Amino acid sequence: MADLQLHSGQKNGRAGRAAILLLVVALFLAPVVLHSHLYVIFVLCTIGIYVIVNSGLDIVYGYSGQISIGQAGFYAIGAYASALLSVRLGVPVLLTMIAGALAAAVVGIIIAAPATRVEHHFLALVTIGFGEIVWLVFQNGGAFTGGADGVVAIPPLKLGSLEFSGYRSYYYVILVCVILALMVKASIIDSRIGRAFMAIKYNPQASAAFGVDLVKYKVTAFAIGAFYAGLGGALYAHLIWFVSPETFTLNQSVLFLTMVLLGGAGTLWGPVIGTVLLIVLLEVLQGFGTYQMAVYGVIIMLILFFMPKGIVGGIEGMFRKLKVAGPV
Amino acid sequence: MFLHVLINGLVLGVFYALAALGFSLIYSASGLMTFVQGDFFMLGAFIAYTLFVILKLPFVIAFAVTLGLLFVVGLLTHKVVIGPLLRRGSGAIHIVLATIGLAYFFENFAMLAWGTEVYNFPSVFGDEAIQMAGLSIVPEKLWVVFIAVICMLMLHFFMTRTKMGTAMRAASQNRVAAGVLGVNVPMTEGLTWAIAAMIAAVGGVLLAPIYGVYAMMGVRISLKGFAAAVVGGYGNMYGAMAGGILFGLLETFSSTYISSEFKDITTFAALLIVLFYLPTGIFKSPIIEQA
Repeated sequence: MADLQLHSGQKNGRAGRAAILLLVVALFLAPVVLHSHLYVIFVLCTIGIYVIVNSGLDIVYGYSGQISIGQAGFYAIGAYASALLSVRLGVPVLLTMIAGALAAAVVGIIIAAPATRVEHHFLALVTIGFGEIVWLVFQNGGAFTGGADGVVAIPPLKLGSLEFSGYRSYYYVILVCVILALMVKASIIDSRIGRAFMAIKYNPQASAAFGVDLVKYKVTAFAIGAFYAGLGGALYAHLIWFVSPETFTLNQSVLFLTMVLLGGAGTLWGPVIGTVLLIVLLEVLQGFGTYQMAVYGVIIMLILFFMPKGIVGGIEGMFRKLKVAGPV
Repeated sequence: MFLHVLINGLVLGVFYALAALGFSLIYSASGLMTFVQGDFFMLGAFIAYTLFVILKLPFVIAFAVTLGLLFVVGLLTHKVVIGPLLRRGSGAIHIVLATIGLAYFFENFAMLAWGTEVYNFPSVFGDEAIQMAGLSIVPEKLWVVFIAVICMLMLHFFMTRTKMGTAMRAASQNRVAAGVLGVNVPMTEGLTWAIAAMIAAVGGVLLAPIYGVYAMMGVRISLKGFAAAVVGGYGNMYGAMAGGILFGLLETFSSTYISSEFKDITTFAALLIVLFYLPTGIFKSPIIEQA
């Protein structure tokens, strides 16, 4: 129960709110300050997209306790839906992005409905199988999906006369989406739905006995997680202007889950911190050249050994210990 | 035509079965899911390649040394990574990710040690087709099936007829009771990883002459083998064998008669259908409680 209180009672104090405001201002100024460092802005865009995808995954795994190693499948659906609608059918990009996120959510519901019957390893396997099927379908979709070559010449986002064709301008679109995604996540967690998710995670039998509709909430969690991934995918497609199937394999799903676990599953800021750290780390590892994957593999294992609850979870644990050790 | 497809399906099936056996053994011993099985395949193939092709040792010796080394690798995987993680109270998902991390490590290690190319492994048993009962059959493929079946039989007798095998089965049914009765449970679990790695090495060495040796060779086999283990009845040895053969046949027949592009999709679709509608697999495995 301590966990439950800790999560639902996450009200930010005045200092917390000031820190968040400062962070947002800094993020809005970043492209101005980093004007000549286009690559850094591009990395920041990637971080933003991954933060959205991982926050969604955290609702599925961290909050409702369902293992998903198929988040890249939903990410792919959002990316491909938005890319194909805009390139093949000429639909305006804003609409295609919304369609991409919704398409992913619908598929999330379709896959989650039967998937709620299986648990643990088996759910992990279902999600892996789902993720594999998705990218294989795009890979073998013939001329329409572009096959192994993917979809090229994806148009940039246009709002009226504004065209977001550069990293600097598109950065603001992503930033706004990240802020909205985190605010929506925070309010979901603090709602009846969020409490139901946590109840399912900590004790499914008891919550069912108290009238929580397990299937309904599990499917809802998946739909929200898939929506976030779809939105991230759509944002990605119009950032890179190119999507290809091998971007969306099992490795991508593993990367998402590693980010969530590193930062701390079941927290608002955990997935954010995990995403930032792991992307920066992978950028640094580029310098290791051929050793990159080995170092990455070792890092995954080290996280599991020394920070199984992630960075945020570890810090919370330390505070709890202090409280317990303090005067009663 | 039909018989040819059948033989090819069986050959592919025994590889999936060998992979599935490893997954199944580890799951029944400790309720864990692993992703490193495919890399044991790959390591087995590369070590055999080094011993047999580069150092020109006789095949039998190269084969035996490879199995011995992979036995040690499996034992170490449990001793260094899995066991300590379990003692720290890691959940199922943590172990899954740890084995994925280990897999990345092994794959990168192989690229550094042996390079990124695909290496040809010369045929051991002859790749010239011979005529048999009106069919032209490559002896290599028959031998592959034969050796794989021998391995499965040996595993069956080891698990059912020896004291160690019985102890391993006892520990997988009830680790506390087995421990009380004097079974060294951590030892049987370590042994399970070692045997799983050894079985994978058999698969890797047999696979090498047919598909070549390369760092990522285990990835597909591993995922399909895992699916086969679950479809057969996760944790059930015989289910794993049946599931592997079934998947080999399914893949070969669907790529011949439906479309080769969709063979992988067919496999994973079959996996999802079984998981949704037959969650205990084809061979129900009553000894496994869903932890």
